[in-house]
Amino acid sequence: MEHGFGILTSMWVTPMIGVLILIFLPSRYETGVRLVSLLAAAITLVSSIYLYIQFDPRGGFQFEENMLWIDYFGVRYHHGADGLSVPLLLLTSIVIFCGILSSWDGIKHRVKEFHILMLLLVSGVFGVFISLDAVFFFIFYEIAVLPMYLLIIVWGSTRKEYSGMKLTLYLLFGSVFVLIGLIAVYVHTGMKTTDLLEFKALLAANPPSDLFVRTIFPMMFLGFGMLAAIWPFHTWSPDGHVAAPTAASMLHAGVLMKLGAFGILRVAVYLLPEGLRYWADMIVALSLVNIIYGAFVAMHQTDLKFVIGYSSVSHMGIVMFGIGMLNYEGFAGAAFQMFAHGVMTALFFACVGAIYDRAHTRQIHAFGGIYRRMPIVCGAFLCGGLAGLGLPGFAGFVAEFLVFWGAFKAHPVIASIAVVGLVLTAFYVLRVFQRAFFGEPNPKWDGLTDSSAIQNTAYAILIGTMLVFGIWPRLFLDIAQADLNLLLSEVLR
Amino acid sequence: MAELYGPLGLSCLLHGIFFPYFIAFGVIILFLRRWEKAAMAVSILASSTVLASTLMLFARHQGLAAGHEGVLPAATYTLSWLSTDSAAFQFGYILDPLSVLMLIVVEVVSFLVQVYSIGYMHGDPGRARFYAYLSLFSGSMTGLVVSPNLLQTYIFWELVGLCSYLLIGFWWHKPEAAAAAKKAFVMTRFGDLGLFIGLLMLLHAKGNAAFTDFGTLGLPAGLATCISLLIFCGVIGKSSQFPLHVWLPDAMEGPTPVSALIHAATMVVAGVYLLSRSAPLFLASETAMLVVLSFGVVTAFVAATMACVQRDIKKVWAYSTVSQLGYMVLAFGAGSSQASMFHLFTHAFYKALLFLGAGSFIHHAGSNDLFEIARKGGRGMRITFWTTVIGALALAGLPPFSGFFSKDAILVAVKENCHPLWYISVMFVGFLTAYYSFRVVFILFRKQEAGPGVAHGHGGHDSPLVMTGPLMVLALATICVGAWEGGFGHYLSGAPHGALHWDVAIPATFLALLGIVLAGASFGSGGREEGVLDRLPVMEIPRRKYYLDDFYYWVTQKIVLGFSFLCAYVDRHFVDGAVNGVADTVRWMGSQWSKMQTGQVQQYLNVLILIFSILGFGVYLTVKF
Repeated sequence: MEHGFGILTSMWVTPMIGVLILIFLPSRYETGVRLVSLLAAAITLVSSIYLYIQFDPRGGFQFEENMLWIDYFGVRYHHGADGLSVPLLLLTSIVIFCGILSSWDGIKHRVKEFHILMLLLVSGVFGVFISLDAVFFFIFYEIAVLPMYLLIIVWGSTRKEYSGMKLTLYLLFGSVFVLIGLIAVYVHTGMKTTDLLEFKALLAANPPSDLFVRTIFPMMFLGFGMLAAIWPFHTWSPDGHVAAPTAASMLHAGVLMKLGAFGILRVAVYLLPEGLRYWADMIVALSLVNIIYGAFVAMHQTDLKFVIGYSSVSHMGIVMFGIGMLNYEGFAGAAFQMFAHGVMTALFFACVGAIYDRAHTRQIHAFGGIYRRMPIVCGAFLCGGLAGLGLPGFAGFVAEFLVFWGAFKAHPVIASIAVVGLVLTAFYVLRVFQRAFFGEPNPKWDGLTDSSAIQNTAYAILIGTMLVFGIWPRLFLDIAQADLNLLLSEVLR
Repeated sequence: MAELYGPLGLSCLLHGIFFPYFIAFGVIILFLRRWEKAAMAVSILASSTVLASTLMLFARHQGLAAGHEGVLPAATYTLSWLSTDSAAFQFGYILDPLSVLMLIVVEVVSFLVQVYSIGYMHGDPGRARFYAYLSLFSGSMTGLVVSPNLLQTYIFWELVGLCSYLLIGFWWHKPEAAAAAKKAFVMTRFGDLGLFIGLLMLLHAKGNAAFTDFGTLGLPAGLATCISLLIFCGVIGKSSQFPLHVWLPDAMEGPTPVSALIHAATMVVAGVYLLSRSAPLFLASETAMLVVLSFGVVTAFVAATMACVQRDIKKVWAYSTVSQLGYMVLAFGAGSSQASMFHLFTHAFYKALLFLGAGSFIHHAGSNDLFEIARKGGRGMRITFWTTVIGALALAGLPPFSGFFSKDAILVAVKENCHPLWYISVMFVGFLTAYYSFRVVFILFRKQEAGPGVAHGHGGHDSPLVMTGPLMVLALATICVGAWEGGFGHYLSGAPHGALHWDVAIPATFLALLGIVLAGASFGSGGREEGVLDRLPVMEIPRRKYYLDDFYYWVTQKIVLGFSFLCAYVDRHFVDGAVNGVADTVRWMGSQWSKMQTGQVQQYLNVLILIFSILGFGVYLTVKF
């Protein structure tokens, strides 16, 4: 079945066109560079909202584009969006739009190159979410990972060479596992096609041995899981978050880590659902460590960004925890948590970036009472923190509630342990507020100024998104429900 | 039940109660942060709308109830909020006598506190923010009250916790306030874990958490006990029962109107309200009821002893609140949810009165210290002083003030349903209550000291009318509400309430008078700062807060943070160490291998020949075998 180019292609092509325009734009027009990049992001934002509205909640791959690309290998240019990827497309475009707004003043040198790399990265991310062909999926996956290296070592801070190298090597290492897994499936299915849907059909027609499933699934899971910071392969992530510049941190924690979880669902679970059933207990155990251990480590950090970095480790644990529960609540919660955490952590990094740009430090104990000078930044950070500790009203609450509910259905005792993470999160988040924002104002920071109107716009968009989805969660769940149920039914078959 | 309430239903009124506060919050936080007067106006407008709607709702609902045989059944107005294959959640309103009565408490006190704050917060630069938080709180509290299921309750339960956090830490620049706010949130969150797990357990068992179905759940006894106790964990946190009560006294760092609204009249009683809401669940389990009873009695006693030794007027009332919450909880545990709710109702008014009175004193004297307030002429503030006396009389449980009636109902329930030991303990707490409340009154009644310490020197002046007005309204309520006991009982449970039990009322009143006499003897005359009780060596324990704060401090500092340190250490040195170790190994191997690149052709040839020989040998072996 052939479908021509459509709106999905525009999702990843728009940032590429932005990149092309930027390449030919003289770098002294800094505002022009920013505007072009913002415009590209705005177009993808509008498109993703359009996709979200147009998506038929009955599920299945929609807006398909399917053309033969390389006949010999059976590579197809096959794009499609389902209930899992449509919200993530929306998430990505929200985060990149807000990311560009947040770094409007923060990035002062090599503005053009910065925006080129950002757009390149985001183009790769969009590509991953819409690709239904293993080759394209993998290419986009690499495009999404690599620019981060340059973004960190050029515009970063705090051990940036080490962290950039660590992150890149780690993720490439992970993608090797993914590649091996994909090649194994390709060989098993007779090397006729690389299309994921056809993979699926061929695997159904010619079921692989148990041994195949049990070895290939964990390879893919770990490969993607590294990107989602599964314990003990998580240490690249806090280091990377800390070293990256604001907008890159936002994209990185907000979107890139979701690529991992998305890859698990889209590729590993989709192709080898029995593998998830076999390894589910292991996944639950690892992610439980993520949740509790991540929170404890976050508690001990003194750098604001490290706190958030480890909180991401803890929160991404909730995503995997939900996947490991093998029930609809767990799956829905995991999918929702990807979205909710993405928005939340983008907000976190936007706020910390604003503080760092002005104070040039992120050490919690160096602050004190900066609420007086920066009420809006601190207020926005407060919203992020409250969302992080699972306050109702924000999207994260519904997501965590669903995950824990699913967990309770599957493993009541383990769920009761994991819930302790909620108190730990409250403890370390409120500690940050108490130490850094409240208390006796430190006269050293009297010169700080509050965020600009541009940054406030970013905060408003991010907070608004969290509230809208938190108050009316069906906005998300109605979209994702059908496809998650389909995926789940295959796992449980 | 919609037809019972007429074609229009009462849902319009419920919208009028639920939404205005949230609208006010949104408007203030988005647009009016710099226009304080406008923010106040918006908030008070919302508050009056809600109050008017509540009173109308009450009038209509009670009219219906009067014409109805027995208790009026609950009506719910909901829409589907979240649904999965195994369960569905509704979001909306439940309308029954319980929610209406609770709404009256919440909205009346909210309104009065909002008016009072005009005076109290006068000149504070953060007034707009203050009113925004107050509105958010009242809206969330309303949402909690009208919630038809446990999930919605949990949602608003957390939101009122947030508002409590924000308002305790309202003067964020004070380190104590920032610490107290965090403590309050984390402590209550700890209890909320239980509630959350209980909610999940209930969902897992029944796929439903609607309160209207609680009577017909038919759970196995063990499970019912388990779920009840888990819900009770939430109550322990929120209604500050022993041993999680330590956050409430610290919460007094917030502005006094906040203490009156949140930490006396409304939020802290949410736990008691939840108990009444889930009564069928608890009644199914005797163990759960006994646990509730014992926690209530212990809390009532422990807090009352601590109230006896405080110098800070707000702390006295704070511990008193904890103690009175213990009364409500023990009443429920004794099997009388009606007595528990009635005490909640009367307590809300007289404790709000006492707190607002304390605020008025503090506003005038600039200090929280009882003796300092007395020195600066506390008794010269006539309206504040005499309304405080009325509140103290109600708190001590003397007739004909409201506290007398509600405590009588509780004592009757305890006497009839429980072991005599519980009854005696509660009686003794009544004595302590009278003592500490009149300790305050007698200290405040002392003559103003002339001298350089007196800053204002205008002892005859009272606070402005916006502050004394609410005091007088609350004092009136404190005097009158007790007489409504029969109507209250009939409305709430459909049963006519029995007359006073003189065999309980007389000894209780006698003990209360004894307490007052002891307080009078200790503090009535002379300038002593220590009474008879204070000189008892055993009072050192309540003075040190039963060592609970020290214990929690030790737990957080040593256990939690210690474990956190351990995890961080493991992460840095073992998990990350392994990663770096791999990287170092690779680098080392690379450097070793690179040594082979010597550039000497002879050596290359040697290696080549060696490798070919090995390969050749291998091929030979393969072919041969």
